[in-house]
Amino acid sequence: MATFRTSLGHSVPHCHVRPNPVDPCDATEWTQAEIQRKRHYMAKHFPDAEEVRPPSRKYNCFGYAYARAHGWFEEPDLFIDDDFFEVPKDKARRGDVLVYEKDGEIVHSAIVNSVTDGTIETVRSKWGKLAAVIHLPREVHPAYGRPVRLLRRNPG
Amino acid sequence: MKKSLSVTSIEKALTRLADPELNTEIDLASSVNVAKDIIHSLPGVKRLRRDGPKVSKAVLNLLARTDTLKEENLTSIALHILEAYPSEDVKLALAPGIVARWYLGFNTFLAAETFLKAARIEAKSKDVIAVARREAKKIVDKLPPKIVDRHQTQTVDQHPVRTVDKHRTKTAARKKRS
Repeated sequence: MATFRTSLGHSVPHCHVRPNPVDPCDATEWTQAEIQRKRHYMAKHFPDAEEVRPPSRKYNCFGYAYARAHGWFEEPDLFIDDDFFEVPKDKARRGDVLVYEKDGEIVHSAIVNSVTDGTIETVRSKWGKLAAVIHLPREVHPAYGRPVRLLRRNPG
Repeated sequence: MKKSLSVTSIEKALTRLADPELNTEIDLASSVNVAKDIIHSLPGVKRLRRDGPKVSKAVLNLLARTDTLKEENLTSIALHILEAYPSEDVKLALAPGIVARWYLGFNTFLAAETFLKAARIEAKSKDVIAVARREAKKIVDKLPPKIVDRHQTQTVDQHPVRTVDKHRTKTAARKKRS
């Protein structure tokens, strides 16, 4: 397990795509053919989602939202506790992070992409092993639950 | 009460689930819990998980096919269905693959969880993979060469059963340590 630290120095478990990977990472990145198939799937099932980064197994939504796509992370709480503070959802700014929960569990996170008068218009987020896309906050798969909290990175 | 599925219906349901057009949905998951949630919502999965031992046998056959493991999402579905049918057969079928690390990505956890349930061993969520590897190794190590040989040639409904290559596993482990 590689080391990635929060602003308070706490180590956050994560993994990378490589031969003999640490769980739950995969051993290989998608091939070009697989990337095309994943794009086709996205275009068919989520036609309004605009791709900003191609499908990848290298990082997930938490890696994208909290660690600049550094790797695959499954414990967003560690980042949230150390690096962010909560702000009202109607006071959003570009770059804030929207947290999605289902049954009380954090299941997805997205970066605020555009805002009008404090209201979130669009977000960008990584959809599992598929693409990073720009989408409306509520236009997500049901397994992503619903947006419940808005976070802002601590100053400094 | 619903009639249980025929073998043909089970195979038809599994064939449908093998379609990437359907199972790519699992790739939307960023964690194993979300993956399980998505798998559970795929058509036919709930029914397959409660229909009975015929399903377990068909899914074990599916997992034993050499091409199934290459289809990671199909393997995820198979492991999630088998989780509902804890048995000695499931335990023995999964142990070699867990030791040899055939399962990658979310399937590492799904295989470990299903194996432990079949072996009636409890573990904390964070320890599931480590405990499963340890317990699976005990099973694989106990398999006498004769049984391993028999497994290498035995077929279940004409599909070859996978076995672990102990020598290769130990060599790989040594390489990893060094």
